[in-house]
Amino acid sequence: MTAIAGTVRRGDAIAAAAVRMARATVANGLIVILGLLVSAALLALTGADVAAATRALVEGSVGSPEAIRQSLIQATPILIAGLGVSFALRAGLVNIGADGQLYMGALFAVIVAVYGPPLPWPIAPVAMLVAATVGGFLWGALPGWMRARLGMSEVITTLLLNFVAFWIVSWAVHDPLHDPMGGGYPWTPEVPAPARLPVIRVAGFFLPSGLLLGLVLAMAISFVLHRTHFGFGLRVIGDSPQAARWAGIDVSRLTIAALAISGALAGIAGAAELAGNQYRLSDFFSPGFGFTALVVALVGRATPSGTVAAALFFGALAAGGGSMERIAQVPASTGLVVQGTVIAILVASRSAAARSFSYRLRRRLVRPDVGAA
Amino acid sequence: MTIPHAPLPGEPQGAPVRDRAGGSAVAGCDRRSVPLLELRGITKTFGDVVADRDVDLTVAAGEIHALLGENGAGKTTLVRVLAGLTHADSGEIRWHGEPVHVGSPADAIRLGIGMMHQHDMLVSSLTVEENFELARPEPPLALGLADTRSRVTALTERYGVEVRPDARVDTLTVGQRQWLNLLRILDGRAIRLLILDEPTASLTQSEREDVFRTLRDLRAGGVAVILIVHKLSEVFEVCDRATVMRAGRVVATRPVSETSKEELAGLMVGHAVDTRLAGAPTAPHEVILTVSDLRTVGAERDLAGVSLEVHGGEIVGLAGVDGNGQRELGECLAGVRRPSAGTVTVRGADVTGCPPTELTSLGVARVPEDRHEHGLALGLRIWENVHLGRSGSRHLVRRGVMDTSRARRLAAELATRFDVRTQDLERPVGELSGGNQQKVILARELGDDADLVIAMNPTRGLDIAATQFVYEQLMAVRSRGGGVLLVSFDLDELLALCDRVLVMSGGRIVGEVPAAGADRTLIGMLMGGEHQQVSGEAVL
Ligand SMILES: Nc1ncnc2c1ncn2[C@@H]1O[C@H](COP(=O)(O)OP(=O)(O)OP(=O)(O)O)[C@@H](O)[C@H]1O
Ligand SMILES: [Mg+2]
Repeated sequence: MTAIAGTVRRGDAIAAAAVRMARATVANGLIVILGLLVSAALLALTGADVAAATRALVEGSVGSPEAIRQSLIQATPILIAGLGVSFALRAGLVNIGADGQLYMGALFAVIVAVYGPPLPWPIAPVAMLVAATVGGFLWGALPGWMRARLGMSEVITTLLLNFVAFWIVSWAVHDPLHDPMGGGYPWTPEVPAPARLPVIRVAGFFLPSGLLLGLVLAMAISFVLHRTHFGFGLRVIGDSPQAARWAGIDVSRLTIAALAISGALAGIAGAAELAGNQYRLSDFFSPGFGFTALVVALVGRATPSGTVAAALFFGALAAGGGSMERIAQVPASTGLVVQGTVIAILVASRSAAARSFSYRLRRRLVRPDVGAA
Repeated sequence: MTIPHAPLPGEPQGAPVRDRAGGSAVAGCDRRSVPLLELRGITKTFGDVVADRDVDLTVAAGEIHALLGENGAGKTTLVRVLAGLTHADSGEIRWHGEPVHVGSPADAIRLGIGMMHQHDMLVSSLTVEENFELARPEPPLALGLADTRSRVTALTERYGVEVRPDARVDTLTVGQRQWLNLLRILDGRAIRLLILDEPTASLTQSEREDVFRTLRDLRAGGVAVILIVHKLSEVFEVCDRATVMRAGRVVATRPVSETSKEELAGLMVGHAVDTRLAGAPTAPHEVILTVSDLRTVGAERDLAGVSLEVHGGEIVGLAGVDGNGQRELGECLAGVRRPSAGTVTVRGADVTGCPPTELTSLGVARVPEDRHEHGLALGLRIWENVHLGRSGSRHLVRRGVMDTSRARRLAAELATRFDVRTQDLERPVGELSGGNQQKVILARELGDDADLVIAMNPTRGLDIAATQFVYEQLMAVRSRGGGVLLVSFDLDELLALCDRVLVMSGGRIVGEVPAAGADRTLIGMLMGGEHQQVSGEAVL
């Protein structure tokens, strides 16, 4: 039954991994379908026209090139910030502060784009992204430092720094960065055209370049986590800080680095949203991107590929939710109901209780006599 | 060594297993000719790995039944099925002759099955009584700590364990923790079947005897015990019958009175095992490790001025009752604890307070005491764990990028050399059997030709062949001129392997005994802290 390690062929391992991945995909697909069904049932209870709502949801999210563009635009910030949250999670750190880091990134970006010297494309968006990286990096490094040097839980500090970031931005858009020609809204002037991230047309489809950036970042993160010494260290501290200490890994340094990079990614998400969608920074800039990013990271099991899949799904839900409201007169928050239901089912399906349940079920189906004993 | 045991009353000698419990009117089991527990055809697979294949096992009330087998033979998996922690793919569990369904630990507890795990299940950051509270089958809404405290006190007094109920678990020694694991099972439940998965792996001689006494008491009260051990001498010390597993199958069940160590060892590995050690005398070499007047503050047991030397070509043993500073000394030498005073030098270089990576580059290997907490990142892959802390010194990293294909190849080589039994190095190391996890650590630490080895209980949880292999590896370090500091609770191991044995007590070295012709009584007295009286005889 046991083979000696060295004799095993790599091909078998890869095949086994492919089977595991395929199984996970099917399982997650079933969960999403189940979530949609449960949501539909809830919707029916409110007396809404479920069929019309479903049609609106599908059409509004994947029904047309424009719908797909909307879904992808919605997916972009939550994808990039979600990658940031995932990255920290791999090092065992829970970053609840992605929203604040995203705001700080957007703030740095808007300062460079609107108040800096005028730059041509593509230097201008690159400068914005760099500025946002710095902003998010600092806003993530701070709780990292507090955790590593002062022993303060990053769960609390990142959460609280959200409010600090929000109020800094709110003050900035009301006062120093306020656009006097902006119709009285508390927002900054628009990012000039050369600084914007274009939507690229591929085979009749529109791909926001921010999303492409997100996909590149996902691949980069995968490389860092699995192919670099740094990423190896991060995963060790995420798995067992004690073992890391015995192995001579500098836990403090890696903790700061992990949260700083996590923050930097959330900051980039802010710049991508700014330069690719809203163009102005306001104090209603983020409808909770950072929190959706947390959900996306958890649903994607903190892997880059899982995060991409989850972000696309939640992006589509957000876009489809909007069209449900417009077309089927169902509140857009129904999208949030679907989101919540899917999360609840997903979490429940991974619990020990669920495993035990599925075991009992199988047992009953296969051997009805024994289950009763 | 062999303690003769009285066969169970009314047992026909040499009868087939199925009938053995028949007529055994032992202690409270009044259902005639029905064994307490019967497993039939239990099969359990993990993906492609068949952990248990069609296993039959019968255990009678009032017997201590040894479960033996090589690392990875499927012992832990089998008892986990019994304890409701995992589910068999097929097969049947019969309890008093009735088929039962053990779908969860709660089911097992209801039947009266209690299990002590191979790995410590206590929550380190909680106190002793809080851990007892957690283990209660139906926790009440409010924590009844006052009540728990009196129960814990009663239990510890009854079994002679010196632990304060309000002590935090992470301040306890391995032995004390082991006791708590056991007492927690015995706490307030009607136990019919007690399962112990390698309970003695890290206990000292006297602690082990205490545990065995408790088991005999339980047996006298009609409790059945399944005992998983690797040391065959322990089988002959307390067990009535022994079942041997190999590669997931049961190969034989024998009454202990009718078998021998040699037979059992042969059944386990499928061939005879040579357990002799060829330790040719080596000429004294230069000093490799010097520890002088090492002190710590703020540890569980502070070092109070430890001085010792390890020369090339020798294995120095460190004996002592657990909790007398061995752990702290090991931590200082591994670079994870900073001493408050004193120095550590390796080949003349002062390495006091140096980080682990620097020690590694000086050729210092260390096998930590706690493989789960300190030795492995359980969620990471097996091949990754083989390089944990060593990817730098093995030149697997160039400009921050790891050469993963070379790392995999090297890991596969080491895993083969150290006989890590697995089909897939890509799986998390936590899925390996306990002994194979230990082999991963050994492959990592001893795989490069280490100059100095600091080994804390390196054979914990290893089967006979693997233990023998580790001994050979340590001997190889010795014969190529390296030094070994071996911390062990097993005096037999120390005396068989070491050139000289230091005895530690109360945070200092209290005596030194040459291993050849060592006086066990003297060592025992030194360990007990009676160095005042005997220090004249000890070579200090
Ligand atoms: N959760 C798991 N996932 C995958 N494989 C597993 C898992 N648990 C055990 N195995 C495999 O099942 C086999 C039997 O393991 P088990 O732990 O029962 O061995 P054991 O006899 O207790 O060995 P040891 O003496 O080393 O503790 C091993 O090959 C092991 O790798
Ligand atoms: Mg085991």
